[in-house]
Amino acid sequence: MDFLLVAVVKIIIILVFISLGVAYLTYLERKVIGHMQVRLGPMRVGWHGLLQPIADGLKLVIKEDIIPTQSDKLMFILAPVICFLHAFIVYTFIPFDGPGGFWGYGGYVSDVNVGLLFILAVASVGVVGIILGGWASNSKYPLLGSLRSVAQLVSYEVAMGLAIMGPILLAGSLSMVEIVKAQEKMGVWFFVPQIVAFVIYFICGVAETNRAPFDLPEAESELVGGYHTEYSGFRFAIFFLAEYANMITVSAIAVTVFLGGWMMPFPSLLKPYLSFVPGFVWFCLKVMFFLFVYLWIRATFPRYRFDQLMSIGWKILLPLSIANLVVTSFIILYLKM
Amino acid sequence: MAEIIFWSLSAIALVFSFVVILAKNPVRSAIALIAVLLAFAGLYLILDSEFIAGVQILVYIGGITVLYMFVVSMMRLKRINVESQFSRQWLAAIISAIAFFVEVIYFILKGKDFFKMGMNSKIEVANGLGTVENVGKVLYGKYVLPFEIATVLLLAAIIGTVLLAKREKKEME
Repeated sequence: MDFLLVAVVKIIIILVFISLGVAYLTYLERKVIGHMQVRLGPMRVGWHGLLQPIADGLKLVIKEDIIPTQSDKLMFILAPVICFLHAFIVYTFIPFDGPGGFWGYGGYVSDVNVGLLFILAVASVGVVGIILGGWASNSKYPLLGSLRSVAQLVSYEVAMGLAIMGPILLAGSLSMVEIVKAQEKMGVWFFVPQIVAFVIYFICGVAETNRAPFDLPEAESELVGGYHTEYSGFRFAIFFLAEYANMITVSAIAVTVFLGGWMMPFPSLLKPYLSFVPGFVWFCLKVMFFLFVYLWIRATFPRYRFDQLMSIGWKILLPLSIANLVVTSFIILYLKM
Repeated sequence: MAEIIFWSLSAIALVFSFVVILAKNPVRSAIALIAVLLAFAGLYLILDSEFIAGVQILVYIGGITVLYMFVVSMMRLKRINVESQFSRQWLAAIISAIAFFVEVIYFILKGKDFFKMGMNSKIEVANGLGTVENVGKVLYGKYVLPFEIATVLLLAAIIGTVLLAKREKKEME
């Protein structure tokens, strides 16, 4: 029973933490892009607009919830739930801290020996919510948006999975905790030996989360709002939450697999001075860095055309990731001999 | 505990299988199919086959069912609602169903000694039949030739599809 209680408490903490993180990620996005465009961003609610996300959340909850009369009501209600569930189930497998973290309770809900595979599997089911939302709205723009979204996600999932294979080969395990431990043992984070896989993973990650410059499913100049055009109020908020939670997920996987998870950078140099900082803080700092890069990319690059998107995915990223996989396997075999 | 999970997952799989067949709306069928496949993934997890459970979700739900939905969501629903859902070939259906049941029962009776039935059989599978290492060793060791033949077959299918699609476009121009 103790085991269950610890798991439940951890799940609640993670749920609250990620929801708050998502709320403030929207604030960060508006602030960062504001400053990059020489504006101030939100300033009115609270000190430098710090309470803005809470005000936005309240507004979304209070707003009228509209279900189109010609829509498939059951599916219309189910779609955001599916999206939300899959965005949050993934966090069960992500190690926020080492086995000794969180006062000895372990910095993760569960360490499954095929954790990374489960993350990829659960994340791939999230597409169902998007296509269902687009279809159930019974409207042109959401349907087009969801079809684009599915084509994009299915294409980039392949390259992404193959890119992650490189670090898995180096670590020799699919468990998230084992992957970080392997990096500790090797003394170098996997983004150094696997720089190609790292770059491919990050590009695919941006595409998987429908972010600029790959935000064609939500291209507001062509499609109004993409798959969630017909959604309003709280249901829209759930879609929104899921999307930003996915951004954090992709960053968290990148940190775990390529950037040493909860470990501190340059341990030989910094350990005497910074050993009191818990691994959880390092993890969050690394994730924040990735999120900042996300926003930076959005503020910098224009949107791709759909044919460009497809040719990047299938003709450049996929062959590169396969080549990386083959080269990595050969090097590992050579070193073992 | 495992028994309760087994029975409830089986019940979910059965109930949603009926929904897949009986639902009038193809998108609802697809969603029910996802529930069935998820229940199967849970059953694999009870058998300590995490890898197979993960691949089940990744390939069947994340890949195949999503492609189904991709196609199904572009259908015109009004026409589907007008057409009758079942063909009226009751006789053939009853005969083939009876034949299938006889076959299954014969198989169970004949193979009783080979396969251990009931919950006790779990122990033998539990030695990690479906872990990454074991699946990999079997797939790339003992059965490498059939595996490679299957991959060549799939590659041929992909190339064939592309070829067919391209030719059609040329004729239209």
